[in-house]
Amino acid sequence: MALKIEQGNDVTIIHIQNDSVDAVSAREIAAVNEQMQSNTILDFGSVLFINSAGISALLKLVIEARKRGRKLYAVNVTAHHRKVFEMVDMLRYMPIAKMEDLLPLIKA
Amino acid sequence: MATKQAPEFNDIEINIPSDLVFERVVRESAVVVAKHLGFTEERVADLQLAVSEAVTNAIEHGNNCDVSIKVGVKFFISSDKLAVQVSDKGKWEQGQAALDGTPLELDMEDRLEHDLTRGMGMFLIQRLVDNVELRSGDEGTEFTMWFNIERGPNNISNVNIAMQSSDFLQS
Repeated sequence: MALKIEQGNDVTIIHIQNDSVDAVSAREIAAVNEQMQSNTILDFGSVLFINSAGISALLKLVIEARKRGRKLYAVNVTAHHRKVFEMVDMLRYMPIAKMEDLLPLIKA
Repeated sequence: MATKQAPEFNDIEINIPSDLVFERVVRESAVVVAKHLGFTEERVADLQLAVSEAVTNAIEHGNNCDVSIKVGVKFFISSDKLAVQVSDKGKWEQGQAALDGTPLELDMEDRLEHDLTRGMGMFLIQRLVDNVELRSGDEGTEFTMWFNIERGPNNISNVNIAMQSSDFLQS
């Protein structure tokens, strides 16, 4: 799976460039926790499908972020994925934002 | 000249090796079936995810990722329902209890506290489908999900469905 990672000043942007976040791509997703900074933005703009295996990988990032006092955001999430994230109560820990609203973090 | 009637069918069958790579074959096929039946975009996505979860369970837990064993998937179609049956060779002794005990909500805080990142598949399935049925024994497990066919605004279906539905669809 392709991940494009941008590192800024205390902010990491992870563009998930694969169209599926599932069991096959989960390992690569979970491995990015080493590259997270105080603020990490996950860009789901290219993602068409997420299942529970993918959610599990995202949860590992959430757990790691919590342990280290870091914030995690999701951008460019489809309506269906928002619904799924709400079902599993993920949005409390990885809120959905608009990229333009996170610009102050990126430009800091 | 008499018009040739389009062939009728009411079931589609797919068999895949028990490797997670092939789960995608089934979920993409589910999308094709749902779109042909005129499902809304939202409902197509629901079906795709539910089928993915069921097939993943069959691969991982039913067949223990043994590629020499197939997962069987059947789509049974009637005028008002789609049934998707996923079969594996495992025996799920606690399956019905697991179905009955699926919580209405996930306690994500508890999961995070205890590093419980897995086990959401059945929860998602039950939230996404209209009905489920589990049959499991020494011969294997059949897990069936029902989706009521509620066509989208265009109400167009490309499928000429045989109106004689099998007993299977009488749920």
